[in-house]
Amino acid sequence: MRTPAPFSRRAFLGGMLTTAGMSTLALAGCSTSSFSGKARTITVMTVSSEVTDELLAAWEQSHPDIGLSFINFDQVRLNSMIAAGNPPDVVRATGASQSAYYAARGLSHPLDDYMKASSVVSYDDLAVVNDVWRWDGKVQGQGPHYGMTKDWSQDFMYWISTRMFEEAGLAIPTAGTPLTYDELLEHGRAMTFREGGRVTQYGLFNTTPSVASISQMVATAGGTIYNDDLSVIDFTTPEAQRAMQWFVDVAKEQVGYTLVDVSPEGWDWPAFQAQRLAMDGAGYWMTGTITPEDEVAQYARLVPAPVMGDTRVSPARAATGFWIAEDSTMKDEAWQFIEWFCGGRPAADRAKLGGGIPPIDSLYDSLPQETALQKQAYETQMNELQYLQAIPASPFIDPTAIDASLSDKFARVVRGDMTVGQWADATTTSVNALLANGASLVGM
Amino acid sequence: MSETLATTAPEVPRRTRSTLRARRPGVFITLTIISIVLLLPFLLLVLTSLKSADQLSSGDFVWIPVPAAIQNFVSAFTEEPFAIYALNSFFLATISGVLSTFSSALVGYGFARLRGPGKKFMFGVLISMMLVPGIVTLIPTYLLFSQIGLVGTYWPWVLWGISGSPFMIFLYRQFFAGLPRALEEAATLDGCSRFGTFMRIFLPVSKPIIVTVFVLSFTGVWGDFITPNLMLNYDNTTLAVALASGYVNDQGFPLNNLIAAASILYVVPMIVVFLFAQRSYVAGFSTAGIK
Amino acid sequence: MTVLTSEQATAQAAAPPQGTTAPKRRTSLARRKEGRAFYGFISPWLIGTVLLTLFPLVYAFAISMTNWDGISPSFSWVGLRNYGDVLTDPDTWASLGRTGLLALVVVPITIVGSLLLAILLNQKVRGRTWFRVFIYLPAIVPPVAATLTWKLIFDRDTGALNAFLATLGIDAVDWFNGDAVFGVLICVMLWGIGAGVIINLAALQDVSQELLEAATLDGANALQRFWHMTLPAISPVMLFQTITVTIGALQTFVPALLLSPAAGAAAITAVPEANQIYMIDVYAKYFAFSQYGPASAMLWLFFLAILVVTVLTFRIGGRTVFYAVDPSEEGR
Repeated sequence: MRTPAPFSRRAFLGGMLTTAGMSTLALAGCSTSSFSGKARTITVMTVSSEVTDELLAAWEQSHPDIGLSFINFDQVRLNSMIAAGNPPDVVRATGASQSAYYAARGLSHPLDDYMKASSVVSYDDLAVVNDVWRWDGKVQGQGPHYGMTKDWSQDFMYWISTRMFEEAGLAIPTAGTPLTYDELLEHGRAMTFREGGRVTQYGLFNTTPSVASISQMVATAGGTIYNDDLSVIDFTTPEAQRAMQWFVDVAKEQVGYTLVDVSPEGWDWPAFQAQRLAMDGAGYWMTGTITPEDEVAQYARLVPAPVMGDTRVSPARAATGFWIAEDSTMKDEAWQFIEWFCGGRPAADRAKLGGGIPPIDSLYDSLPQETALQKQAYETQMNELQYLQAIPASPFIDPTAIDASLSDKFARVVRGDMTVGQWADATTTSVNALLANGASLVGM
Repeated sequence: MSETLATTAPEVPRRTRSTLRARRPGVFITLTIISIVLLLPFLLLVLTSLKSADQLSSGDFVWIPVPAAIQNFVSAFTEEPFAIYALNSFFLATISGVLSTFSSALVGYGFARLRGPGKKFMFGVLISMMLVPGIVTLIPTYLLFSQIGLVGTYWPWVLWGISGSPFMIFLYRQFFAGLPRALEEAATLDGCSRFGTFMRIFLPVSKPIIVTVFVLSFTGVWGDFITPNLMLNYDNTTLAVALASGYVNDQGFPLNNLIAAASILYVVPMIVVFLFAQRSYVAGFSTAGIK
Repeated sequence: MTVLTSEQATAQAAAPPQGTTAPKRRTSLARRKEGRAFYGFISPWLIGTVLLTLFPLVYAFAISMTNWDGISPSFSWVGLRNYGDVLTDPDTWASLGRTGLLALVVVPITIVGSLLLAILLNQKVRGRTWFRVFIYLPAIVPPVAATLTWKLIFDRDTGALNAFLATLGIDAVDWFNGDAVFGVLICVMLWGIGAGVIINLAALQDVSQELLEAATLDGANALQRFWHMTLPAISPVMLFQTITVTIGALQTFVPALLLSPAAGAAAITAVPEANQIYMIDVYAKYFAFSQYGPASAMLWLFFLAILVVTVLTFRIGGRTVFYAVDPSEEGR
């Protein structure tokens, strides 16, 4: 007995083809975020918070013939795009720590020629921080620039609440008198208050044992954690262990947010703004954020980077900026974006707000100096410039991998299941293995 | 631990009958307690979703939020492009569902009603593939796909849909294997090709399985986090991924009440689909002879 | 393979009884045509498996023998060095141990629990259908939503659990620090216990009622009936379920990742140590440490382990499983 056929072969295949066809249409449309419709469109990978409507409008005005297509920053996606031979044209990165990593692999394009020929950015006008993007094949800080910074701060500086300091009877550090890390811990203790089981005020800013922090602390004591060619790291030196111990002590005494007591907001500002935190671990760039908050601005003060030893070292942790992919087919247009964003109107706007130190010297004068807060911050920051020193960053490893190695065992050390010495040994071993691997990859 | 007897035959000793009746309140109470325990997280989720930001972070825990912040559901929609992500999820889930359903039926029919050299080996491979977790092949597939530029597109889902899924092929196979031989003979007598037999006779009869497979496939993709997390980008990803990392305010503060509201909006379609297809779905499992 | 055994057995059982006309002998041409048709029908799956499963696995194997970091344009071959490194790394064994512990806790509770629930739901109680829905509902919730739901409950500052403890006078606990987070993971995984209940229910209902009644008449009590009749009857399903739940527990990833205090791309680096199970370790090696070689080696080792488990299943469980899987292969 034949059952009536609801489908015919044609209908079946037709159904499959239609689905596939619809998929193609959707697939084509769904792969890009902004369809600019211009002949020349460059892809920029950056964090979504930087892509504002004002920015897009300003770009449209100044560069009407180049389209912008933004991709949200995602390291995994970046890797896969590079693997596919189709990287974004412009990529955001933290120059201080990552530029050598990309340059040594030939993934980023040198910008010196562009810089020298540029009418927006003058090569001689480049702020010294841009040296972090320089790589000569062996050493960071020399050779051509492989990227450009968009703005920066000396990120080991921090803000304090003078009110809380005075209430605890503590002396306010000035531009010429930084605190030591030991003093930071003591002050943190003095300004942390609890009610019942809950903390009502933390005394110290957010701390995380990172390779950058440990480097800075060790540098102030005249040491270094890397060897000369950045292929071997050593956390077992007395200075490094002293630095690591400090992080453990802070976590144990619970005087601020740490890896084992994570801030629910993710960063210090909400607590500092709500006046539940005595110190905010951010640099000059917070000026723009604090200025509109009258209550907080009244008591906020920018103070210099702390020291573990005798030397003042105040590096830039990030020096965030952009690089152009070597495989990009639109390098000229990519450069136009970088020079505009880092040296053109957006840079001037950011400078006026105090949202960071500009990457070109001539814009330093645009930094705000109207309110008392802004003046104090500006003066302290300008004085700090003399202590600017780069943290060594190895091209053989992405520093986030080192940080991951460090944080891996941190909880155990804080609990007492592991000593700082063991922690230092374990991290040194695992990171050196990664460095060795990286060296063998880059060396070819 | 007693099995129900369909009818109480007169020969059943009275002792057993009354013992059975006496046990049932115990069963009822146990089931009630278990249900409450399993449903409690849902309740807490709903309560969290109705809290305003102040109620959420206040020092004294607010058990029942009054007034209920229904606007959280609106915010869940607007804070993230919920509609777009939902549409993406829906699109991918539908493609997968449709393609999987047809493809698995095809393959299941082949295993059930046809013979060929090496069939036992193939069937063994099929069963083995059922046990291999997807995540083992996912990262390598991602690496391979990034080399050929398929990452960031929806093509992987099309390809996976067309290749069917071992478990669904298995369901179809069980079902088709249980159908009488007479069906093919009748069709062959009428001059039907094998494909025609499949299309005109077997496929229509397998409606419960079709529903089951479609529901499994659809909900599988709707609920999948790790695949779109790896394969798709911020602008074309699915709701599952958006839920996991969205709903933070400007400073990166996770907004728990919005997360709760969004989770509810995310889960409700799945529950609706299941309840709607429940009868067919359960029947699908039984008919497929999972014993 | 046991497949042969059971198929031969059923083939013989289904052979035409004496006296009836044997079917016409199939010509080799017809057989070839059928063979082609067979492969035609299974081609989507076959090609798909080769392209989407085998190729990637081979590719991963190739990577596992290099020192690639996912971003460098060049790499070199290192043979089986990564396998050696991974197998001698104490961290690998630690993550394996945690994974084993997870399975050891989750699997028995899930298997026994879902069986007990199925037995309860098999009773004629009032509201039985409703109970089925209630118990099955959490299993429908996708891993993302389930993890977030439990994360909200255990949240230190805004979670219901700490609030409840506060009413008892106990201080708030940071559940996501230290080993407690492993417990949260277990909660997430056990919440979906209802998933196995449906299958167990179907299996229980297939147990022959006549045989059970007969046994009751013979004087067998409930426990005896269950142990000697029901349990053997449903054992293929139980075995299969045990295997799938075990493999599922061993490859857990999403809940552990989402229980990390950080969100988004930073989540993987912030997973607390107690939750660093095998697949988290693999994922971290790929995307936090850029150790594509060792990570691929770990994946392959896991894959091989699964293959071994699968083969062993069919060897040992063999006939039982296949009768479940293949109850009525028509003899042809």
